Amino acid sequence: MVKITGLLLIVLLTLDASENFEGTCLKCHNAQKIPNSLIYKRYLLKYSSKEKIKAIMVDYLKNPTMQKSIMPPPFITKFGLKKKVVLSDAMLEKYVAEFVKKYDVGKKLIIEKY
Amino acid sequence: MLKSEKKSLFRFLIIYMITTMALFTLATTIFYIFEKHWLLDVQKDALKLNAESLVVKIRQLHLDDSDKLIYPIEDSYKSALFDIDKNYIFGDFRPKNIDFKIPFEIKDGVLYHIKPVSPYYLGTAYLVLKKPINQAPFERLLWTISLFLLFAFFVFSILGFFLGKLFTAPMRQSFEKMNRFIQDTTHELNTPISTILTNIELLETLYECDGKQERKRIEIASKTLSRLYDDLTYINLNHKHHRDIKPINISTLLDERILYFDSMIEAKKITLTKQIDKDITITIDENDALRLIDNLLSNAIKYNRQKGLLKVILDAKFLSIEDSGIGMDKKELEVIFRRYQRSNQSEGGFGIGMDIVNQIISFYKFKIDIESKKKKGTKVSIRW
Repeated sequence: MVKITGLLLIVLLTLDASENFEGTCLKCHNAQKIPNSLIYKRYLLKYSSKEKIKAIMVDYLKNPTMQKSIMPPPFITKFGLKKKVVLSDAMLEKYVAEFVKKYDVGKKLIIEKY
Repeated sequence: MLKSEKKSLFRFLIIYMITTMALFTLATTIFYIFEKHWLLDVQKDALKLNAESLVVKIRQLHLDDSDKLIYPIEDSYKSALFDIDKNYIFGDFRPKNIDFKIPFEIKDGVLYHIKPVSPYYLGTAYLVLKKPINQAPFERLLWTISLFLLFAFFVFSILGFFLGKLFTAPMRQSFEKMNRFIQDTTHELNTPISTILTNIELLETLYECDGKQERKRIEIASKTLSRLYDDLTYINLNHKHHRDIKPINISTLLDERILYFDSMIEAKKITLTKQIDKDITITIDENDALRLIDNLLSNAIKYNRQKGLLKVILDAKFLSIEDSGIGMDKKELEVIFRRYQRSNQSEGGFGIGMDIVNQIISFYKFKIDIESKKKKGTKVSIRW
């Protein structure tokens, strides 16, 4: 009975209001003034490839731990660990892909013509 | 300088130059290979430094929060960024078929440098730089080495020449001694031979005495000695004597010389056939003509068999002397003009006759044709 209630709650939460990346992820990030660009750069600095970053992010979001976090331990100590994301794998992968695309540094690079 | 000395010096120089230059070229090639590698290393180091400075710039870009990040480009090289999965990130060129395992690669005269980057600024795990190889230092090196080799060739040629002269000096001295000895001997021979021949003629003219055959033998022996004297004098003076080249009546001269050899022809009971056209004139030094005829006639008699045949033909274009003697095979014909070469060791002589003939025909650019069959005879034809 508890399990069914829990599942219903998840479904309700998922269906709730904004069922997109902006509404699901960025809304809270922006409200909490989380520096998305900097976080992505930390991922880049450590994992280099987009595919690797996506896999690491999905894994972390599904089961966040201090060891898996890209942020340093003092940061976690101060702000606490992120709560487990309750999203389907497909949705999670989609949102992570959008996150990576949005904050991709490669598209910021330009060659200045003389 | 003597002909043989020149030949020896030339051969020595050839061997000396080939060995010296081969060793020198080998050493220079090794030097060139090392130097080329060093020059390439210099360019590799320069590209390495470029990569280092580019990493610093990429690090700065990584820390930059601007909306536009200006990629650092340089005129001297081109660069590209790759992530850990070897995916292209950005750059001012897009390399293809790069082997990320080796730090340097050369393709079509372009030097590629692959620098692993860590931490991965902007996600960059590999930095690929390319720069066309500067050929100027290599060309300069090649030019310097070529000049050096040329200079070495020049120096070694001079050195080889002097060394050769030094080595052939004892040989030259021996030749000079031998020539002087022959000169002295021939000079001393002349007077007694002339005396014997003159007195034999006087004996024949003035006195009717016994021992005609013995007198004939003395005459033949003296004439042989006289001809030998003439040949030796000719060889010794060959390079020094002045030739008086003028038209001479070769028919008369040939008749005179046949008469001169008459006693020898008679002694061997040779049947002589003459087809000599009258008043044939050729332009030649008389002494050269004399030596040419004498040597050909002498050989035809000397190497003829007893009761053999001797055929002498002269017309406006050629002189031919044919005998029915021992003849020669192909091998003997090949070396016939060599000095001191004798067809038959049992016959007398120094083997200088055909050498003299060869010298004369070469000087006047005559053509000589020798047909010979072993045990059948020889026919020598000279065309002018």
